[in-house]
Amino acid sequence: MTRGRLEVRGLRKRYGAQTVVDGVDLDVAAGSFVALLGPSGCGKTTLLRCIAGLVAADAGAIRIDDRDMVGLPPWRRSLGMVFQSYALFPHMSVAANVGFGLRMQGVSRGDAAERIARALQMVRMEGFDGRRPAQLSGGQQQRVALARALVTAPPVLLLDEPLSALDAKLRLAMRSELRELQRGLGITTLFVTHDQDEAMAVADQVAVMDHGRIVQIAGPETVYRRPATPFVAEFIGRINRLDGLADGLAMVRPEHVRLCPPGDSLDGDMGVEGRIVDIVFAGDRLEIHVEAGDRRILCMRSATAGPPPAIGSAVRAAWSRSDMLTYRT
Amino acid sequence: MIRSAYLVVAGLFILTPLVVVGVVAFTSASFVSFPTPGFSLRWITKVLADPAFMRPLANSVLLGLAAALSAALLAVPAALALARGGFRGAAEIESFLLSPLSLPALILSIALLFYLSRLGMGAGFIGLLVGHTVIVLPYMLRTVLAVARGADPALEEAAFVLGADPWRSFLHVTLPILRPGIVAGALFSFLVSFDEVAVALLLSTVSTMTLPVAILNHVANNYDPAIAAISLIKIVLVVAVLVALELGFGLDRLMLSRRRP
Repeated sequence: MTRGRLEVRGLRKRYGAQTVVDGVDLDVAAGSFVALLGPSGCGKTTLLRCIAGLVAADAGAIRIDDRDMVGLPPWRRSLGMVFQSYALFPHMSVAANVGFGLRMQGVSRGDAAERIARALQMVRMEGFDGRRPAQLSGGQQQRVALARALVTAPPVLLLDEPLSALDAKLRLAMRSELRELQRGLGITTLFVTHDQDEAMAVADQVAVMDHGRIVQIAGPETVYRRPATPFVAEFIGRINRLDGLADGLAMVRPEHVRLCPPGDSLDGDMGVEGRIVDIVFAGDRLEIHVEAGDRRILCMRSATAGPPPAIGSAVRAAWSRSDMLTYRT
Repeated sequence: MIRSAYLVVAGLFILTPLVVVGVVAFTSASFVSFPTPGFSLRWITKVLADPAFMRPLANSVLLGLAAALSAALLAVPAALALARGGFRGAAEIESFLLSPLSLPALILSIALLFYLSRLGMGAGFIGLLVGHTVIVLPYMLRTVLAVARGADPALEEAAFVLGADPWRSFLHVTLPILRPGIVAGALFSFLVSFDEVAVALLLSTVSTMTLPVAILNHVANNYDPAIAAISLIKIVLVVAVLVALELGFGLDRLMLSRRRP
């Protein structure tokens, strides 16, 4: 797959005194799926809208397959985009919605009908051609929006929190469907989300954004296991801060914390003594909260690994030094 | 019980004068009386053949359509800008555009008369059109603005990304979405203009006289059943327009953007 290489260089956008996108460099290989992940206000949506051409960047370059996008209005960029609200045209049928991009390109009626049918089949919405968007469920609307974005075979697909309007069950189902679809088509995809589980589940690469910058871009596993900054460590997954237990800033993931009887040998590991203050049953796992002085340590273990300890019992929370993440402050 | 009694009383209060007009329009007498001594079509046929009524009727229809059209041409861009908002003075501009609602039409027409004669236009169709456009603009703006405010701003952006330039996106997406507001606004505009007297009284000439002015002139000179006949024709015309729209498109579908299931 050689089509759809996206390159962003030194992109900047400010609104008044606020810099929303602060010098972003981003390379997305052709055919890969990148999630832009970050808290609200981190600039991820603005970055996506700059790429779409809906927001004019103040500085920087955007290239797709070496074609310069800056200065081109959105209607000349021929990209695919799915909006958070889906933005289906309420006065048009499903078929007319999906065919809108083809109509704008001047594709002949017969040709368009065939491609619309294929796109609807791809998202498993065949037979819904004549319906209006208002007559579809949220999940169906989202499929139609996807078909509409893909029918013109754009080099890059932009997704702006496309799953956030769906309920939890459907979101999980659409997540894997989206992933399969993307893999099947091999289309370069940029996916904006504030949901870290979603980002990790769908993307080849996760770009974590904070204050208008990409602070780390790597595979989901690397972002989780080797977060580049304390921000990434705390934003992705859950983590214990170990202030004062090591030089600089140290953290450890709850699944790396084990509980043992107080006074047990640490074998060179690190640990603190305290007592169990709370146990939360989370289905497949237990979240055990240990209070050690003014510190709270969260320990996560499989719910099936033996009987749960008693609340109030004295324990030692221990972890291996190699599992600890340390940052210079 | 009390509620239905209230409805009956209110209904009678509104309908009785109309019934009297409807009956008198078909009187055989040569003077207004109720109950009528007998029935005939003499006044209806007389009025329909009388250019003193038919020309003003045509003028009024033309003026109502033209006022609705020019109000739409002004209100649609204004509503789009106001709905998008984000510029200084947006709230003030909106209040200003809606202000003719609270302005006495007579004051407005006197002011317009002075203004237009300074411009060398004086009374005439253009003056009438300007006056009626000002009067009906708030109705059009209100309905279009309501629809524009309720529309998802991402719709236009979706059209852009799908390859529609601003003009095509307006034509294929924005305008159809605004249509219910425009139709409702045009309906109100036409009805308000069709019934308007104050501006028409001062700004119409013999050749551009509107129907309400013609009726007023006629009543001032003679009190015969022709008034009832032309009133009935006017009512029938308005109801016919409403029924035609209802049958053709469905009024609540046009005005409320509700889709048939």
